[in-house]
Amino acid sequence: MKISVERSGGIAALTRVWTVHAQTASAKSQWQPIVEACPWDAVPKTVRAAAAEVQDNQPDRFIYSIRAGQRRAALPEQAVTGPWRVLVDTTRAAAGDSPDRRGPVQA
Amino acid sequence: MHIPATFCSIVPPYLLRRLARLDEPRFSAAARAAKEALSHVRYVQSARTQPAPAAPPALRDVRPGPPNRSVYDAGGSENLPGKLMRKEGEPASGDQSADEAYDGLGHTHRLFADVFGRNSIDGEGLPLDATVHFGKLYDNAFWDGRQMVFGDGDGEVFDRFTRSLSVIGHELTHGVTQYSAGLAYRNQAGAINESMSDVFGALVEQYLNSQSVTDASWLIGEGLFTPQVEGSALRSLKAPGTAYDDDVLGKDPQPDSMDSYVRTSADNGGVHINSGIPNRAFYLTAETLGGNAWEAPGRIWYDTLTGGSLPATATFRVFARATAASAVDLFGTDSPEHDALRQAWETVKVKL
Repeated sequence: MKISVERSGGIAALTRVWTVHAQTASAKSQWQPIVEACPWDAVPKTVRAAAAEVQDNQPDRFIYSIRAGQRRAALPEQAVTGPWRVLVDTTRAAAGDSPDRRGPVQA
Repeated sequence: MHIPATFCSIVPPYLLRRLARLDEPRFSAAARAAKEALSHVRYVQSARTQPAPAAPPALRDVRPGPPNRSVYDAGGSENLPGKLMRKEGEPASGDQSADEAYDGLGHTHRLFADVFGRNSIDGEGLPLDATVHFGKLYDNAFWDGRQMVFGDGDGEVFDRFTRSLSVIGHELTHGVTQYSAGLAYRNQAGAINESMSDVFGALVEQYLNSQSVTDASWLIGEGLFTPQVEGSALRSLKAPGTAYDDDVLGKDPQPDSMDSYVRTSADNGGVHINSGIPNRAFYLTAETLGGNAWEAPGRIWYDTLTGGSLPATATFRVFARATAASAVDLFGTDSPEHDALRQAWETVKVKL
């Protein structure tokens, strides 16, 4: 299962992406409850729809676009709470913490 | 909690860079912060006041009062406003971010009061509140509808966001826009909203430092990037698209005319991208006229923003025409100011 978190917006408008591939059975079993805890059907699926739904569209806030397998969600920063926050933070932590990533570094 | 990630195909560019420079394996600061966040799920308090109906300028801007500032410390949480750290008239707190925010609020208040006769953000003496140390390594600053919020930056791409006076002015101007034209925050109206914040953010710095058009940097967010980033600032009004060109962050995506207008659904329809076009129109107007940009050009833009006739969903063309109407009202049809403005819009390919 591929899990990705894309963060756009902010005063700098620099888009950041964190991606994790949970491939082993162990990884999948640990990611699954985190992913399934999120109410995917209750939120917009595109950033355009997310922006349209925001009642208080605050300037310079981040917008998150989240994918896990076939699931899609788009949320303004203010709505990234509860299980969404856990999913976003876990993905960021895992993506920034993977020793396997060091191989192809070409900075 | 340990979550194994068998491999990651895409990682944040600055982490790639940092890892490339480090010999010893250790977590990046951002990853550490994200891990800490796992055990403390926090809820962002969001509160945005509805835009107040604009009072007539004659009633609103009679006698600007002194600022009434309060700076709070979120202490790394995302709870607003946080603990009061310094209020109006108190000596420096010793906290660099808090004192920079306090000073920046004052400089921004001074531009709007001294130059445009505006009594604070709402024209009615609204207290100026700011929170610093918001979140963990938070890479942003924003106006939440009633106060300013500053992150400390991650220390790798961004330094603390109070470092840049133009950023403080930018955020407070979002408040001015909220209480005046109420520009929508998407597509071209959103790009005008962003451009207004860049224009007056730049003018706050220029007015404080007594910089003429030619002396000024015309940069937004100078000093925010750490030395690891190849870039001078977030944006340039003088030369949109040239503020940074970094091997991993990429290149400043701003267009400098309608020829390179960016159509996108990201960033609320490219509000931080296409703002380069009206930004450059302002710069070109100021360049042609010379002298101090906060004088004739600033007055034209300020009157357009607050005059009551700019629609909340204005396009660039509607906005350009509104600036031309303001220039005519202020200086006359055959004035150098009106000519400079028309030429500027023509250069950026926005038809009047």
